[in-house]
Amino acid sequence: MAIVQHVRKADDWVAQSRPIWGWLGQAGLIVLGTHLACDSLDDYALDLLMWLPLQWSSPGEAAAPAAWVAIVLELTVAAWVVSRLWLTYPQPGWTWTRWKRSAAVRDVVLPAFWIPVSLAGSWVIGMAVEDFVAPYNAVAGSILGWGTMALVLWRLGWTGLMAVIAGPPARNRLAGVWIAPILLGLSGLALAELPLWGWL
Amino acid sequence: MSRGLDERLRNPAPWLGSQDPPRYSGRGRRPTKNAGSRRFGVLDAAVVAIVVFAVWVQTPVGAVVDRFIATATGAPTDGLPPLTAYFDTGDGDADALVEVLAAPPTLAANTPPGALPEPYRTAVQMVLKDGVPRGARQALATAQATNPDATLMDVIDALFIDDPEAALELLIISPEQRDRAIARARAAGAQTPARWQAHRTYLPMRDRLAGDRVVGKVLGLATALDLTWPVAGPHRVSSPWGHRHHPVLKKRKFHNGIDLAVPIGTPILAAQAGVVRTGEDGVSGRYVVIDHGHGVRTSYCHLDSIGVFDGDRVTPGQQIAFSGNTGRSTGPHLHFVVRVGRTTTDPARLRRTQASARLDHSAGSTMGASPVMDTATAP
Repeated sequence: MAIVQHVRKADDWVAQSRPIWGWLGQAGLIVLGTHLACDSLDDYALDLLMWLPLQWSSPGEAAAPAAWVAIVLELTVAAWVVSRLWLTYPQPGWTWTRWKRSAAVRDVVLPAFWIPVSLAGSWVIGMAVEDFVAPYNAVAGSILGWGTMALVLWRLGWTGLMAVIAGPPARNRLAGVWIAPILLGLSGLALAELPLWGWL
Repeated sequence: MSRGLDERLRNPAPWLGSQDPPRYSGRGRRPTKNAGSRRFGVLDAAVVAIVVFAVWVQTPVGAVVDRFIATATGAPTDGLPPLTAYFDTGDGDADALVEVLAAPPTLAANTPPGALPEPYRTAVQMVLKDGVPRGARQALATAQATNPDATLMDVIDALFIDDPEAALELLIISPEQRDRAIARARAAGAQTPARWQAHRTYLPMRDRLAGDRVVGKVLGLATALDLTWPVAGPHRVSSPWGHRHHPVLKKRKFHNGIDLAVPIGTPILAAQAGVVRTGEDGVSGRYVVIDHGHGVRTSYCHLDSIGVFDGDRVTPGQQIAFSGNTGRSTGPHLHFVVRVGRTTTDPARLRRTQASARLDHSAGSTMGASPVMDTATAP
């Protein structure tokens, strides 16, 4: 019993430091999901660059700019998500009624982005765990992979969703309108890239 | 909405530790003593550590951090992969292949039955001259434990059943890992999940990068070496690849392809299997570009009529058009271009690598004794 008490104390102590490092996990989850989405974004960027009336000698010449479009977009979204999680805290006294009264574009788009991208990010983690364990035991690898995915979704995806939903109210209704197409596009790509649907 | 849910959402993330645990409102489940910010600390720390590690290893964000640390500590950055490697298409370093193709070797006319066929065989030997990957070294050591005379080609031949791509992949990654990646690609809706370019995304980053360096490069080289000639029957090379005096512009320009003097209406054949893109402009006239995959593309210009459409998949030797005299041209001919990565290579050199009669669609095909052709044969 003394050991259990010590473990609980250690757990409490670690938990109290969560505000310092917790947001890092949530942001990392979104970065992973965004990267999965951007993995196909460079292909679409290449198609767009080839469609434009620019004098490309071949698609190969346009491949590098297309890759940089995806890189810049991914890093920009990652920085923006980190800033949203790091600089804002859920507001006390938040209610759905208050949200409906003052919701801006950002407040609708952000959850719509968060859900599929965190799903994609947690799938990436699950896949990585499975790849690590499977060489030793394939069944254990599969179980641990799916289990890790569920765990990451619960501890980081869900809590992060609550954090972004209950953030401080925007100053005007159009806040976030510039980033809305980017976020919604990435969430669509994340859903498309996610192999989950084939398992269902 | 229920007051219980509303109560939880009023303090939606006590997990962040910034608020006290929610107060009991008198409805629903009474919160436990350790509810809210004081639970799952160690578990959350472990989960966050795994996520941060994955970001560091698998994403460009991690690559930026790597470079920042290397720059701050003065460590060399040469060994770090470039940011664009995270979005590689799996073609390998297609531009580096052009140097190899400047002096391509002659393919073997015969290969042992059941062995990796040409041109993959020659392509593997050329690529592995630059270094043998770790997985292949281990496989060779295992083979040499039972047969000290075993070579790397023996290992690859043992892996080959009927798919050269699979044999090359199994040199780098385990069969189980490959099967998992194919299953994930299939679940994501890929049409040909067994192809390297379809399932490489679902491999661990380290295996993906290693695979691109070997598999992508070998497949690109093999695709280039396997190209066939677009015209059957006898014809003359009216203008070779390389610098020349432009007949229309009257100035020295680089000729990025080879001109084959053929009359209007000559059937034009696909040099290899691939996906078609068509178009028309004032310079190239009516043209067809075929993407053969792995960074290799061929172009057929100044056509009279085109018999395929955008997005069509063609087979090797399939008729795709009739030659013509459209665009900026001084006479009926086919302008044939071979692109590997972002640069072009001399199609005539590739043609001479083929030792078998499979290359020429007609045994009587000749290049003529044109001095222009003799220039093209110069090393």
